[in-house]
Amino acid sequence: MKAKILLVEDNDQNRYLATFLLERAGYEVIHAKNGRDALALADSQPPDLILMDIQMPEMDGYEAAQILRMKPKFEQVPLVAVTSYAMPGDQDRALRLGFAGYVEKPIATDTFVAEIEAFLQSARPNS
Amino acid sequence: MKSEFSRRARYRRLPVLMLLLTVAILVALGSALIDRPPAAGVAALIVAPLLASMWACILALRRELIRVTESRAHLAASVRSFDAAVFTTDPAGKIVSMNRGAEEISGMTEENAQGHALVEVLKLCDAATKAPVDPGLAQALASRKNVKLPRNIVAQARDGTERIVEGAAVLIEVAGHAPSGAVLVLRDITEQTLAESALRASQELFHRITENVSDTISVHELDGARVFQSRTSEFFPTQADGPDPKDPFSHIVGEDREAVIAAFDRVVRTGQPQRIEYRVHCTGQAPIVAESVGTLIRDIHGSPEKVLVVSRNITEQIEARERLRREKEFSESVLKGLPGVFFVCDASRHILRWNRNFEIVTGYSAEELARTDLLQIFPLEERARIEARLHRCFSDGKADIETHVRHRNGRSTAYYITGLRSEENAQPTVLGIGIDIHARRLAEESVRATSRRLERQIQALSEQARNPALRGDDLGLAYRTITEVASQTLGVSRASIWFYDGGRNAILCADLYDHPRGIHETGAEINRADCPRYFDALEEGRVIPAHYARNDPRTRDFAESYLKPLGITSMLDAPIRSEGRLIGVICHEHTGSPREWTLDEQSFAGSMADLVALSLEVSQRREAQSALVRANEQLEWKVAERTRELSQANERLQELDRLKSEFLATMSHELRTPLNSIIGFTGILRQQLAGPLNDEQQKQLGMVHFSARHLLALINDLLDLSRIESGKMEVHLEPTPIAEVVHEVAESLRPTIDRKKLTFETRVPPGLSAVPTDRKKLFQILLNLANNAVKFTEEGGVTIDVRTMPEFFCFYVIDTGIGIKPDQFANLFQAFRQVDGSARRVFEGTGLGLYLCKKLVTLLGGSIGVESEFGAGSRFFFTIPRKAFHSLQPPHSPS
Repeated sequence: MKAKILLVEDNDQNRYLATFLLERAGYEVIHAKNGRDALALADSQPPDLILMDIQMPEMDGYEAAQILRMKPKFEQVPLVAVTSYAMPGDQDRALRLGFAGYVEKPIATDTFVAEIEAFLQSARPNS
Repeated sequence: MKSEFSRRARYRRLPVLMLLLTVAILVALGSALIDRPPAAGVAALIVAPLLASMWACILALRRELIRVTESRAHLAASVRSFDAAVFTTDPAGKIVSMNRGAEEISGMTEENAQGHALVEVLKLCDAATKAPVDPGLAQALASRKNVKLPRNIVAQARDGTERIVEGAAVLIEVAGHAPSGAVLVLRDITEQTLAESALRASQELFHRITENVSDTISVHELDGARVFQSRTSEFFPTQADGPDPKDPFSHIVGEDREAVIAAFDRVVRTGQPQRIEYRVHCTGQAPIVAESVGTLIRDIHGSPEKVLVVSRNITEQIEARERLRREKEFSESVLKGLPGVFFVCDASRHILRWNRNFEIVTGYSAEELARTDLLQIFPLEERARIEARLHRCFSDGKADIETHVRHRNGRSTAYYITGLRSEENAQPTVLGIGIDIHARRLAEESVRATSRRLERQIQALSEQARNPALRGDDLGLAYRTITEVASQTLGVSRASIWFYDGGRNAILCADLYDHPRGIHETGAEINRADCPRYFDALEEGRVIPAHYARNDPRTRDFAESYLKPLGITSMLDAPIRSEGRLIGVICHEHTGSPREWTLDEQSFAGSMADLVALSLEVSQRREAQSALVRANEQLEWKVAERTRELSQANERLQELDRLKSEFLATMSHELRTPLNSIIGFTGILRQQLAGPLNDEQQKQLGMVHFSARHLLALINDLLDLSRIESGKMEVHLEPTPIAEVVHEVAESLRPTIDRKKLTFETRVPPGLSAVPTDRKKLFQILLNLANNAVKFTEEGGVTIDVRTMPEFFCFYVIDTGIGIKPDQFANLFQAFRQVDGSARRVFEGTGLGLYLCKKLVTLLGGSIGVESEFGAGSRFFFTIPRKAFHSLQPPHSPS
């Protein structure tokens, strides 16, 4: 069975873009538009991986990540940030706050799926 | 000794024994004869001669024995009586006998010593080295010769007593027989040796004394011949340089020689010591002066034997004496010629010495002065003071007084006398020197008068200088004050101030103070035409002291109309000048008998004129000043206003700047989000993930993708810049492996390089350790430069070269591209400046790249530069420090 990925992204187009690539690769994708929704959704439908934008309305990626990391339930779930190259410091901060890694915006369509798969692989042996 | 006596006793008894034996034999023979007469008679005939000859023999032997015994005893006695110590030994070296001297030296009795070896009884050693010395007996016995012992031997007795001895070992032998023993003879020479050394010491002492005494001691025969001299001295030239060694007086200068010889003869003749000074030739120098004392030495019988002469060089003494004499002469002549008076008096005021002038001033003769009390030469009323001062001088050492010296005719002259305590013939004296101060007194009186006047003037001037009236706004009051002060200070009837009016060619009276009446007047006018010479004099600028104003050519014109009616006799007028120009005059007019203006009064008049000018100037300056103050106040107000405006503007600018940064940050995010979508979707489409594309679609989508990427790069650069410029860009130092960064850059550019078929080379020194710097920024800078290089190069290639320097790493990015024209260098690192306006369409780029690079390099603590040859390529380089660099300041570059 293919992994379930929780995609947290406020911009519709970008959400669609990532969903397109991930579903095409066979993953199950569930969506949230901000951190708060993401927490609720993760509780009800525990994902195998959470892909989260940083800049979002209501609750941003950092806050959501900190809350997620406090829940033992999600201890083994890789948390991947979507950061922009142009926002220096975001990546370091993301790694400090519990993200397993990050992918850069704009999404490189040719390597995106492979990067996500790598995060899943690294988490799987322990699950 | 006892044995010697017993032996001799035995020899004496021998004949008695023999007689008894003979008697016995005769008795036996007699009895036998009685018994058997014939046989006995025969026997008696035989025995009797035998006995007789035996008897004779015995008697002879006895005599010889007694003689030998007596001779031995005699010898022993004489040996015993020797002062010297005598030890007698047998051939084996054992002591046979010792005399008293030997007992003393050895400290043993003969009895105890007998039979012992000599060395057991007596120790001999060298006086200096204390090494044992052989007594020489064995040597004497062996060599059969007498042996003399070495000198300086010490004999040590049993009790440790030491004696200095000399001696010899002597053999005892009879010719033709083996020696029967030996004798050691020692003589005690201790006292003799001590006496000798004492004599030597005393001789040495004498020698040293004569050597060290500064005087030369010589001994002469009665005819003058020198037999001894203590040392070579300048008095006695050696034979080589002496004119005549035979003549003992040849070294004396010719004229003095006779006197010296006569003195010498007197010594010999009278026996009285003689003293004489004379000159002696000295080799190569002036003659020296000698002093000699000759004394007669007599022999033990009292006859004259020698003459002892003690001589001394007294040249320096003589010179010193001469100098002293000259000094004395000089000081005496100075004292005699002294213009003042000079005297020396003792405690009872006897005048001991004085100079010639003292006689003239007092009018007494030398004889009179010699018996005059010092007080006599002073006026009666001064004597008590003088006496007190004299006492003080004796007690304190010095004193002075201003007094009068009285001539015998009663006239007194002012004198200033200083006294110094001195001493003459061990008596305290006072040495007095007096100076005539009559002229000085007069001068002082005049000076006092002048200084009183001056004091008044200075006081007036300084009061006026402080007088607020002269600095106030009311010039009229100032003028009135000045005229009053002037008339009072100079003591004149009228003082007035006039100002020159060029237009009317006249002077107008600003104020006239009439002192006797105590009133001020103004408004009078004097025309130049009426008194041209007065005006001419004024224009010369000097004070006009018209002592006799009615006759003075400068003021004569006023005489009839003005001076005479008012009774004015003298005028003192001082021109008032300002900035080198005549502006008026201050006049002082004296009534009564004519007055001669003194120099200080003239000077004071000039000062009063200056005071008027000053008041005028002060008044003018005040006006100017208040105008200036008003202008200043206005200016200050304007400046404050402007400052306030500027600070407001500044605040607005800061606010705007903040808004700009905020806007940029927000806008960048907002712009980037849709761009990300565009780039993402064109990516999907180009990968044909959403379906197949034809070639044209593929190509156009590629353009969209590229444009979107460019736009994104532009926005990112803008965002970076806005951060750097607002100081929000942070530097994250981390150990950065340079080789890795260079490799990453190369990998990023690989696709383009391959596409353009360019060569690409990287040179990094091997074994480079990690550098503390911001890895991402270093990557960004290097990528940017390398990207540019690739972009502007069509043929050839690009090289990244890293060099290690003491403080820095230097990164070179070298290309073989189009290069840069020299006139474009200046704009290279500025924002939105791509080198060629036209090139912007050919070479894509944000136009922010190099500007950003420069900002980033500065942020990392390095610098950036470029070298280029147009058409041949460019070489960009930048440095980063090797050690951690903390740049937390916002990089405000001057460009």
